[in-house]
Amino acid sequence: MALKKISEGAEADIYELELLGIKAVMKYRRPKPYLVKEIEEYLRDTRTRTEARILSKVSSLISAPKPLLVTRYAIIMQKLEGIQASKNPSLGKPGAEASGKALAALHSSGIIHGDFTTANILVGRSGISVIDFGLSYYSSSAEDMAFDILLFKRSVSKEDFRAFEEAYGNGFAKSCEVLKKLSEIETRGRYQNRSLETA
Amino acid sequence: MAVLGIESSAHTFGVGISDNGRILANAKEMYKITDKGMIPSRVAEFHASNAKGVIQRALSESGISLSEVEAISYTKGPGLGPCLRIGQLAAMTMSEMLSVPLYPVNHAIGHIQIAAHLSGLKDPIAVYVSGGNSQILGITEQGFRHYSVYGETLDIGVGNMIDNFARAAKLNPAWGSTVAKVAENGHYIRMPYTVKGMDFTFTGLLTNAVKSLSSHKIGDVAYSLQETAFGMIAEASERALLLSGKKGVILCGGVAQSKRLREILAAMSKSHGVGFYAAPNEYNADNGAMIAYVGELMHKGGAKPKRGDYAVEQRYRIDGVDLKWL
Repeated sequence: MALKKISEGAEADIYELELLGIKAVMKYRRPKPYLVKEIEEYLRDTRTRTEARILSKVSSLISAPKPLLVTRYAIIMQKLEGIQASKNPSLGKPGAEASGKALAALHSSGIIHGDFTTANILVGRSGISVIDFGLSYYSSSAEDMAFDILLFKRSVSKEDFRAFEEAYGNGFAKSCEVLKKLSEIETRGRYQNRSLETA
Repeated sequence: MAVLGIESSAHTFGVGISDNGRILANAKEMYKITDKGMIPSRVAEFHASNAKGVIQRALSESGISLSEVEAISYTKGPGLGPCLRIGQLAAMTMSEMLSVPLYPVNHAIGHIQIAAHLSGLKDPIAVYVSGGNSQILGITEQGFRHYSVYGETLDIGVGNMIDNFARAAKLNPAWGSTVAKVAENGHYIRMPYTVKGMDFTFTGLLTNAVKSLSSHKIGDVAYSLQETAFGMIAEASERALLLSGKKGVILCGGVAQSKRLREILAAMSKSHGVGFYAAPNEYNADNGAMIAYVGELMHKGGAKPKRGDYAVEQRYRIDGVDLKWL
């Protein structure tokens, strides 16, 4: 199993490999030497397990990497083709719509992505895929869902967001409540004029 | 060239003098907080009666005369309205009297900029933690040059969270250094750790810690509260550091006085091979020197405040400030 590191994220490194002839990636959660041992191990262990569980669920709902093998701090998953939407000048209307549909499907199943920015949306030939469920969790709270939308809104143009919002609204029964929560969060003041840069 | 700066956003009335980035004076008078907290109008009265004395002390500390003061700056916000207005009034009076320009300064930029200046690090991310604020920021050129907030608390500031805990635990004095002392040799109890991307929340942690007081040793609760809160800030900072691609970390604001927070952020920075700097405590506490320093940057950088810019603003957001003078 030859490993090639293809990227370094904020908490994990991504390696490329082949597993039984299938192109795969391995996500390995690095140690966080600055945390006390108990918190560090707890975070790496539970985040890896939660992510694996959520991945196997979402990969049956939308286009997302299917987990193939899980160890204590690493997940080996199927490699998906496409480029990060953050690397394009704009996601474009079809991409934004597809993203809205995908997030609606996640929220309908009570799954919060947790880091739903364009850096975690891959645009491929056959549509978009959603990756990096490292901060995902189960929740039915409208506020948690609204934060997914807030992150997305900050990383796209106004036009793309409108297309996204419409598709999201059509795909999720509780969308009205979530979008109302979103405008409430935005008026809390801490979120005005906020731009998010992505690497 | 010397610029005199006045800070009065909360309990401290401070006057500093900066001369080409050298701090010549940093005088202050602090309102004594009782268990009732701060009543803004009382604090404002305190500032008003101390203004003249602190200004005189700063001048004599610096060894310069009034005629050498080339500009005046003051804290425009954020802060308590009545307190801010005393500093503003003192600054306006001096600028009129001496016929020198006047510069309104954002309080948070004061803390960050003086730390950045002293650190010698080029374009670092800033971890700004105080009673009411907990933010991770960096300068961006998107739209206009400004501090972009990469992540911040979604509810209360880390300082207020720790103070609240200290009051609930009946610690005296009810603030961070007392909690830190109690936390020494504590053992870890699991507590809610909430990081959402680069943002974080503290109220769940606070509630849990206060509840745990009845069933655990106070030292263990204090230890776990600190490790969890500071760990969350460090993890969010790590994300901001890696996503922004910047090559340094500075820590400033009132809670930057915490030795443990410094250790954790230093270890985080070291693990990515980037420099770390924590501001000296005299600049983490509210002070006039940082306002004088930023006033000097604005004066040299050709900032031209308009009439309407002089008003104090209780909720003066850092990310709306155009840094074209930097």
